[in-house]
Amino acid sequence: MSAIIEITHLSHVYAEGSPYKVESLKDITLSVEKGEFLGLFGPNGSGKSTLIQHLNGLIKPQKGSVIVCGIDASDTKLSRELWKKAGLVFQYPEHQIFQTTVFDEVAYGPRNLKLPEATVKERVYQALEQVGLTQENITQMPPSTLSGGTRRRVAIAGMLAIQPEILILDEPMAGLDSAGRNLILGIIKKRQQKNETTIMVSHSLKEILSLTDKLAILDNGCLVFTGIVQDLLNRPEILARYQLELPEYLQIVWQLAAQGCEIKTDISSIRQAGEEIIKLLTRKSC
Amino acid sequence: MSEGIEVVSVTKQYTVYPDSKINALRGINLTIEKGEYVGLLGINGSGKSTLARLFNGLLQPTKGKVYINGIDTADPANLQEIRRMVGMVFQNPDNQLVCPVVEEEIAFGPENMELPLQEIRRRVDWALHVCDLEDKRHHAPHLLSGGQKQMVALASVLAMLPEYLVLDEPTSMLDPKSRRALLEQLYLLNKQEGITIILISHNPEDLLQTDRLIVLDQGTICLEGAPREVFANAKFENLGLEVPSLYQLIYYLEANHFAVPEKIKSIPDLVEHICLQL
Amino acid sequence: MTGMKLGQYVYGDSFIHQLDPRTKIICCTLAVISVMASDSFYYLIFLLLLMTAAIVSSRLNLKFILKSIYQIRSLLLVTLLFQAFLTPGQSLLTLGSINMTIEGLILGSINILRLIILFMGSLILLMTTTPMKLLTGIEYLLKPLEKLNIPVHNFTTILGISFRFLPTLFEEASIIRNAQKSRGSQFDAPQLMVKIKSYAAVVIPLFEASLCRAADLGEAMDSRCYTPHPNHLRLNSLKMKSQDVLALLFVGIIVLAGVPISILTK
Repeated sequence: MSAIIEITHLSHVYAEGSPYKVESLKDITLSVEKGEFLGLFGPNGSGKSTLIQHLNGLIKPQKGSVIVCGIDASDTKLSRELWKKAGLVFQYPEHQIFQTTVFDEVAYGPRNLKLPEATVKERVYQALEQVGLTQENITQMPPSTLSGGTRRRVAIAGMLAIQPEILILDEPMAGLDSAGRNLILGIIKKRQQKNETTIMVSHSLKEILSLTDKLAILDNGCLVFTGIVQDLLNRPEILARYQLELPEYLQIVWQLAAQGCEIKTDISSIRQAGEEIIKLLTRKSC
Repeated sequence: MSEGIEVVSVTKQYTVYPDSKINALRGINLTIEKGEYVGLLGINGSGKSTLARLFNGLLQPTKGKVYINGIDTADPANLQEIRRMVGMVFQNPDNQLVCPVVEEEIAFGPENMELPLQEIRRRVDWALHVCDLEDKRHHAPHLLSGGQKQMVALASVLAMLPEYLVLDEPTSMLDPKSRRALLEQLYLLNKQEGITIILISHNPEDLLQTDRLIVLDQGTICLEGAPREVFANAKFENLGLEVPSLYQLIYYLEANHFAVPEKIKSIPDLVEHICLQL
Repeated sequence: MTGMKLGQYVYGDSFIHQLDPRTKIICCTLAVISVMASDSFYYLIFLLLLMTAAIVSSRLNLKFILKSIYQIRSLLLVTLLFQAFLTPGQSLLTLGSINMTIEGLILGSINILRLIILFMGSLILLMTTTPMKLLTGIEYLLKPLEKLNIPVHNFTTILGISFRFLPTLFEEASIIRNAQKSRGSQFDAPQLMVKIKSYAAVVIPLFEASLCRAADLGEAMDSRCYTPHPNHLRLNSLKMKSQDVLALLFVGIIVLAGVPISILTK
């Protein structure tokens, strides 16, 4: 299996030489395999945004190396092409919509790829289908008349139309209600099924837990954990730090275990949690 | 009724370009007692934000009346008084703060009320203290995090000493930690300062600490009652809402003959209760 | 000092930094009047030297300011040439039908001097006074205009909101720029149309966001009973000290003395 992203000893400092200096990334080494789904987690200010902006060429590595799809991000000329390989969708992507029709908005990326108009049209319709916007006339509608959740789907379609090999989503479900969240979740799951490399940034473990196999946790610029979800559940000290972001049923079970109760902790659903608690109460042991 | 909020047969109609009419609210009848902690729940488009803006006169009902402590919101002469009594915090933390310095933002309300300087200072100090913002007093708002900005917005409303606090989806743009801090703050304000709180959200998880839940669907009140009853109602999930995991667990335990008292409303409460049974 | 914007406040605790903003605004206004009223080359040079002394004493970066003056050299050159060619008098140089005159050159140099002095004065004001203090000073000084029914407080509220959101706007612009770059916008393309379209992709969303923001802010202000009023808390934070009186006296004397000096040294 080849690594589609290889980050080696990456460090980054903002505002070097000024009183506002911040070490945003400290010696990060991380790799992502082709087709993998990586969840990137960490509190505000942990360096997640800085890290992902290295992957599509927005930020050049100051120290260390970043290789994406075989392209060295330190190479000034080549890194200008990285946006075609690694599509980065920012938070609240609907804020970047500027065209007067949905079609033109989604076509912006493919047109910048200098594709023939017929291909652009194909890609736009494909992308809109991927995000579930298939209504009649949707392409001619002005984005400003659409709801927030729909606008977000249009923005994501705009990136999907570029067909990047890697899709990076920065908190794609922020600010949406449960219907909106489920729609975005659906889009991400479809991508996962097709084995397309995806990186999703979140600061809620609850959100990521159900989606990813692999997880990386950043804190204060340092990589404090990489591995699969199961491994994380076996690291109580890390869990204790980020515990409050776990799904509620896991929190309850872990808190019971912390009180000394004999209860199985590697569970993955509310029903299972319920069953384990009933078992505990029936045994009446603590 | 001389205290509390009364909404009587309210309908609110909007005209959408070019000429179609939408009923955002239809035949709403609602009473909120002083001191209550009420949650207003519904999916986007159910009319929650419209109803919120009726409480402080930002919007007027097309039909029907809204009374705050017996005062009619439709009379323009009453608006200043109503807005002093009913404070409002909005969804976007950034788009509520107008002043270049936190301290001034909090003084904004009292200054508008033309209070004497000493009283302004007193209220600013108090609000900063209650919201734990004393060390941010001289900061510029753009340097604060989303959660801190929302706290400043809350403090600036509190400085007007409102009796009622309406919050329109205040947590939807916040990270989990800030969200929890804000909800904790609201709980304290209700229990310790006796402020009536109306918390509006599309996320049922925000409303676990409320005394009463009102669920809106397409402009009408669909469900009303204590959270325990409302979440258990079969109609709830049909409205596009998800029952909070805590309650899903509680219902599962109750279905398996393990009683969970009404007062259990949080994870620590439930954990404690389970341990006590062992 | 890289990336420092022109006119940005620079932290310091010099004499000028510590002066009340009202003092500084009044001194600047007096300086403007004095500069515009005087025709005397020598008096203007004197003022220029005073400005330089002010810059040095405030420990501001003189090199940076000189560089900034260099940046407006085209404006200065145009002023000089216009004056030189359009003033009647003793001809020095002839280009076709227009004459460059000595009188013109002298007048032109005087105008350049005026511009430089005013430029330096504004920079000193902006670089030694925080935007908030400046705003408060302006509000205080304009307060009497309220009696003439001029909406001063509306104006200062607008200025305050602008200060509040300027950093936010820059940040938002930066984020949108990055988002569009991630879709292939080229902000440094050689073709003009591509560049324009790229910048439109930033300006349009910013504009839309600002309109939304204006609506939201309006609601938030209405909800807190907004009425134009003096900002007592802010205004009360200003205190005139003996240094301010001294500074005002000093500048006042120079301006007054400028009248006879200008007449005598014309």
